[in-house]
Amino acid sequence: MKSYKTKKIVVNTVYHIFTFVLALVMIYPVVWMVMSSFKETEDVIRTATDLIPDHFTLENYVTGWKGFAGIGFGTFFKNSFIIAGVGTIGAVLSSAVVAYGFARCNFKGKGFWFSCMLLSMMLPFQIIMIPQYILFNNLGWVGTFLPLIVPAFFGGAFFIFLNIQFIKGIPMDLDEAAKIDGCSIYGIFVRIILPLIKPSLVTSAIFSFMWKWDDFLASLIYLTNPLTYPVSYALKMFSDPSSGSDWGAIFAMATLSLLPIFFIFLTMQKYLVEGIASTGMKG
Amino acid sequence: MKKQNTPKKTFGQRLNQEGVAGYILVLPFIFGFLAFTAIPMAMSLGFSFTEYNILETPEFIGFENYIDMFQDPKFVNTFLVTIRYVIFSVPLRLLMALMIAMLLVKSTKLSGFYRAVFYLPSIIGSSVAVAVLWKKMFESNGVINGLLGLVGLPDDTAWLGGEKTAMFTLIVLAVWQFGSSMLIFLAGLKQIPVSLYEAATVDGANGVKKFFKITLPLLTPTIFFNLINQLISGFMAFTQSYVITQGKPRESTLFYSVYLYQNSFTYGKLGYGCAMAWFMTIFVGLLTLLIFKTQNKWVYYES
Amino acid sequence: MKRKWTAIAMSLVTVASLSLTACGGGGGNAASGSSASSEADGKTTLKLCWWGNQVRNDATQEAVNLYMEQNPDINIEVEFMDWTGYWDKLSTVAAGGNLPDIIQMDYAYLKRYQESNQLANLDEFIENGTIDTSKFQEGVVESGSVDGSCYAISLGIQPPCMVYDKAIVEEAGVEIPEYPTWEELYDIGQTIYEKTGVSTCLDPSMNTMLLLARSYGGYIYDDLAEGDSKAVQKHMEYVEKFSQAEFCISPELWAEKDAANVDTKPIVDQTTWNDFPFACQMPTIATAAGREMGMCMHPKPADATAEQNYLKPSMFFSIAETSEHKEEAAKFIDWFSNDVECNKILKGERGVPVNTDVAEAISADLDDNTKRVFEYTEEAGQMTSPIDPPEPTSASEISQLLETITEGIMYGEITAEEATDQFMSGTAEILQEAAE
Repeated sequence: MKSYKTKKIVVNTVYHIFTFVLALVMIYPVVWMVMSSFKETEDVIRTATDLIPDHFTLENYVTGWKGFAGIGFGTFFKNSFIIAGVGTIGAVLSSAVVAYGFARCNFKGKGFWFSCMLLSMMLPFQIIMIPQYILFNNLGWVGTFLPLIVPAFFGGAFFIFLNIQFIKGIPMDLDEAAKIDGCSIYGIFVRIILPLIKPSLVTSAIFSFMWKWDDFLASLIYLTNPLTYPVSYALKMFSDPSSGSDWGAIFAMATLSLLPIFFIFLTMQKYLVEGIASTGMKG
Repeated sequence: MKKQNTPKKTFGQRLNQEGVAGYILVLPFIFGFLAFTAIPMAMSLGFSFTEYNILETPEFIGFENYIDMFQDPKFVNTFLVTIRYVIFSVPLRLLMALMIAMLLVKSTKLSGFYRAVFYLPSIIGSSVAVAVLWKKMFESNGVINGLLGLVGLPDDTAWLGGEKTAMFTLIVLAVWQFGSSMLIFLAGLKQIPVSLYEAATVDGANGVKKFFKITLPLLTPTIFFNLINQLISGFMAFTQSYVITQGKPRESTLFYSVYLYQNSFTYGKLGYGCAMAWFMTIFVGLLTLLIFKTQNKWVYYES
Repeated sequence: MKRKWTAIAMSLVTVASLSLTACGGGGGNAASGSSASSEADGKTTLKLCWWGNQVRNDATQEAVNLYMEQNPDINIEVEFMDWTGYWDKLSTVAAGGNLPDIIQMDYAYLKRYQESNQLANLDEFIENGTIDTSKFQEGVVESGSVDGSCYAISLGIQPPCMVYDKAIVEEAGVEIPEYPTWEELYDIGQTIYEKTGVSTCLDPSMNTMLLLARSYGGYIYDDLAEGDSKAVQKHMEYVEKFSQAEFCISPELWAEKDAANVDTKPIVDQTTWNDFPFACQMPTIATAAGREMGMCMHPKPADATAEQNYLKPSMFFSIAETSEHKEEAAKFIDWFSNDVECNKILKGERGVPVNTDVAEAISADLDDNTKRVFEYTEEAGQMTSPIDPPEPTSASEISQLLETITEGIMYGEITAEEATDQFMSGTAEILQEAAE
């Protein structure tokens, strides 16, 4: 028994050392970025090979936070939270419902609509950007958050597909059992499926938030007032190829813009726990 | 819930029929697709048969764009460059993601921290900061060469200046940002019933056997998803090439999507760009179809 | 045929949007982030857009505020973007018929927007004095003109130049002539490399070739259209000669450093001692490098037959053809280019002001580097030849081709002669396609 315990400690130690070292290698570029944000702005490029700043300074955060033309990053962060937050709620809910329909119901034209879904993942946004702009322009939505948020409420192809794969992994016996107990198709979704696909819902939420947070092209096209710009887009405005860039401010604000996603990830990943195991059902 | 089996179905029962319920559940997607995607898609298909510089009305030219495409050496080149990128980056990234996911599936006090750390590279995404970061790391006097020098390897490679090495740096970047595939694998691993492993342990199976008999088969739907998804995004990869190498040197890292974008917006040939986009969509679509067809040979679904 | 097709497409979009509006029923005010345009209170709202960085965004907003203070009946809504995003957005918005009233415009895009009837003809406003051009540097109005009509007014001008690292040049003990030839530069580069180990660069891009064509009295795009390969040949030979020299920067390093970006140019980290920016970029380079920079005329070939120098318009402003307030927009452009107070705020960041009085009035307040740029611009301004017309629409494709072909020479894969042939036939194809 004792040797088993020692073995376990050794295995655990080796595991942690290995994982930790690997993590350090992986994270080096990120650490470099964060460190650069504390360098004096002229030094960022000049002393790029040094990890530790010669002089620690918070000046980049001060100048960066001021933003542009009197609009500070506080405003940009608020906009990002609205766009990413509302969009994510819409995408996660609608995608789960749609995925359930695709995964568990047989209906006419299912193959067709499924193909449409995949197809919409394959066309580059730049190509449909112009017709879509004309469409939203006719709707009077240009200059508002609506074009950035509303489409998310009708399911995102990626999230639907992801949820389908997870729902297909749930044993049909569970559905059958619930049916016998008098559950409707909709009831099964709420009582059986939804709790069991928690890992994929959490994954969808993390992705959706992150992608919406990082996306700037849609904001660029549809937003017209600098007061409504999100962080992802505002970040681009520190630099201009022909008249120079404020690298310090870019790195400082890029570091800040990582924090919300990082914390959302940290809180959400806790829910990446065993789905089926907790029900005690055997596959 | 009504359960009597009368010949005339009540409204509630109708709603509970699979054929009807399916449509109701999928309706949001159908509506959203028709409203926001289908028409722009159809229009882009239409544009592909025109000469269109965005600023003037499109002019119908039939299949000319598609014919021009195959006589355009740059088109062929960028297509091959992209395929090369996909062939190397997709399998490597998936392998990396699966390995790290296996490593992190273990629940320890530090799990959350580890997962976050390994996911961080993907969070910084493709912002302008990454472009600078990557260029600086691979510069002649950058960190990578410094590390190589420490272990006694040649340390004077100009990674971004060589035709082969420049592509290599982009592939490394893709592999480094394995986070999203890892997360999906992690979720997939979490969905595998623990009871199966318990039963296997009782039967005396070792770790390797458990992996091949339980983990891998039950993970196939997730692998399938990741494969399809990474293939699609691999072929659409844009930012790496556009921001970091700008296709240099000698167009050896000029991705298809970048050339498509240049045609559409910089050169004022949106019609040609749309034709390129549809060619790629059909190509990737067929590839996806092919993989879907093989699905029942290797993907294991519970139902 | 084409009208019919477009009509069908457009009506499809309209039908879709109408049906959506019917479904949506005016919801979603909650998420609306746009500011209402305030026509109601008798004010005229002008939309102004530009690309730039933090410095420009702040300064321009300040100038706009001043204008609104001085003209209480005008309200200006601004939109600022990054360089790449700006052109994506502008073309998209133009497709939707939504162009802002006043648009910052670039030399490379002017002709495309003008040919597509997106820009208002400014002749009327120049003739009736709404835009006062009497104090403008010579050639400014012409530089924004297509087929004899003006469509864009440049806010600033800047001549081409060569920038060099003063300390390195001093260390090598060489003297940089005020107006060097390429042949002289070759020898200087050799000496500097021997004495200090710092490399020389030659910018193989279109800017250099365009200047070469000018020094033989030609216009590069006319030359290309006519199949005249003299300047092209010369350019390729220089690229070959320099890149074969030991003292020249290696193609790998050249690709790695990215000279297209002003603050990652190889001169910034002393990989090279020289560079070829436009004059107004000198202060940025000096700041990025943290070193003192000298300026001299852009090198010319020893056998030049004409003056290559010109004052390049640095930042145009145009008025959208769809604008409902062209007159007010023109008044703003007039103020933007002629008002001293306004330009004191802008500090010549968009180039040396075109109005010579304004340039003189603000030069006292500038920092040393920018002052040097103003002086240099005046020196170079005394030896210029007329400016070329705006670039043809296929210019960006041609300069991309040139980049790939000159890379071929630098990597030693093709000779100057092959490069010339490839480039001539390649451009002929592009130009022919564009003409169709």
